[in-house]
Amino acid sequence: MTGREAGAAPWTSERWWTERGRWIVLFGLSALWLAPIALLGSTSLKTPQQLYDPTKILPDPVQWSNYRVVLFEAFPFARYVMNSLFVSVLSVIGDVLSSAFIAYGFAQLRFPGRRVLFLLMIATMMFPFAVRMIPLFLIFKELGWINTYWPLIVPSFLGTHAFFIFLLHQFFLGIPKSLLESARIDGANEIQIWWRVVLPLSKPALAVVAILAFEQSWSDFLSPLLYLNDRSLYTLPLGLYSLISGDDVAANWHLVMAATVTMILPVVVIFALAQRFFVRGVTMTGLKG
Amino acid sequence: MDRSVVDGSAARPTTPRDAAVPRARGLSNTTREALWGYLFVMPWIVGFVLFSAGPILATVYLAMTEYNVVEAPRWVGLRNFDDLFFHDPQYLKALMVTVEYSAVRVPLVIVVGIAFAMLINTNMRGVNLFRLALYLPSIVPLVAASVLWLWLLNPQFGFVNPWLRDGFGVVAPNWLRDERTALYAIVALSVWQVGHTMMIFLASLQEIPKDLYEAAEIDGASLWQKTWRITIPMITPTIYFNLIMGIISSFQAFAAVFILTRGGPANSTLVYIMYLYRRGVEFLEMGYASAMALILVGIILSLTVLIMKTSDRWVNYDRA
Repeated sequence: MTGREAGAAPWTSERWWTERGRWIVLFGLSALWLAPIALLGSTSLKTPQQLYDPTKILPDPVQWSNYRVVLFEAFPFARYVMNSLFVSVLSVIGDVLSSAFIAYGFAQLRFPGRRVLFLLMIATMMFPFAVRMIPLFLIFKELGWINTYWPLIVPSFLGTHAFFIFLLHQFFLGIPKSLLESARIDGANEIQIWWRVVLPLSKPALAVVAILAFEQSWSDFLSPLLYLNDRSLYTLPLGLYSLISGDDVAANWHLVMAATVTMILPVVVIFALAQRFFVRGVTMTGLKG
Repeated sequence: MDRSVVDGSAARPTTPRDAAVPRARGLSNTTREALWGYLFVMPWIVGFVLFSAGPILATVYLAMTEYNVVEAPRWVGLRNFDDLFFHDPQYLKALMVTVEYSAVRVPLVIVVGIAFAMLINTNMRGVNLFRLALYLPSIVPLVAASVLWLWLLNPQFGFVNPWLRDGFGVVAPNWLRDERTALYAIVALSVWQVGHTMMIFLASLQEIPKDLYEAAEIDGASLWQKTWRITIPMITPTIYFNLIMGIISSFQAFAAVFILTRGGPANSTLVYIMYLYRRGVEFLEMGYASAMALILVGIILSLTVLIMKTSDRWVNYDRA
């Protein structure tokens, strides 16, 4: 987490006390905000008997086998992880490629109707998913795509996430025209320019879109709920939901928590590896409204 | 290649591409650029027709029909809307619940977001760890966070109630099964995930010029005055943006409610999409659900327009 530092004012005793107070408040809040995650981790390592003693925080004995049981034995979470990875990776590729492709057309090429189409694209962001949900379901049913991953992947390749197009459009506007012109003089066509000049220059923005797309796809609940019926096809959110909608959830909270950790962990790993892009994503998406 | 570039630029220096792409010499530059343009936005046009415009128009049609997927849609005109507004108390309940949910959630998340952002807007040692701690819950996927909430608030196996009982002797309600508390328990989940909003406001706070505060300090302004006279007015554009996005997302709340309460108890958490899902997907009343979806579009658009119209009264556009 980076950020520009506040200006350094001289240290007075009043300031020292304000900062001390701030530190105490932040410490309390941080502890409170991290507590659910800590409890999640500890419960995922408990034995069923220890579940009846929820205020005893540390698991004793530590039962690592909960993860084995959830991933491979009683529940096929390893399968759900693979399914989720498959869907998310493909839809991230689709989102990044299609959004960048379309955004280049809107940002750097002039054609009749461009403004109208661009406004239409922005307008689609205002429409709730619910207004498309039922016909989409009927279309996918007609195509025989129910109970397949196509409804979760194909729309990504056709630029259905207008917000990503908008973000990249804003970024591409900043690329100097002269750079593109000189590539044209060298005989490159627009696809070559997009691939060899624009994309390499836009890696940070593409990374932001990739992360946002991954978060979105990884957490998506309603679409898989609508389109997937077979347990073997479930993505992680559905797998997790099926775990808690069963009747024997009370005896299984330790396994439910292990499954929850399994779903969170990949996001945390990506966050740890690409922290600066998360922060950039926040500012890119939050400020330039 | 070299020769054609020289030729082209020598003859018409403003349009060197003519020479660069000899194949397409028959077309003017503008036409060629336009053709490329259409090629690039073509995937969007296809996706727009198939997955946005087409379905939206279909929803408009289905809203005027009775349709259960098995039989063909039967035209009923405006009857679905009549039923919704005048003969369906559950729908009105869902509207009320959604309004209450949004009216509590949106301002609360903004206020907590600003407060947290102000707290972490410092160069104090260790502040990065605090930023990380407060931000981390917001990257937890909503379904996972909801399941975690389900456990935390479980009166027997969860942490909150046994802890309140053993530590403070407080008998807490069964948060998610009590119609007075269930909706607020769901709002609390959004507050826990405030980190994203907090970071947006932090970035916004750091854009405020320092000399404004320095000038105010010379004039002897208190922290309270600086907050209300400088900080808040300077971040109104960000508040405005978060208000609109917050309302749009609150009116579409679904996953957390579906997992935590499924709309219960006694419909006290029956948010709009939950009810739409119940009628459309569980009862297969696709026409009825389509009418609900259309009304939702109307609500979201009019709220957005309303906020936009009032924005010039309270949003400060002087910065930039």
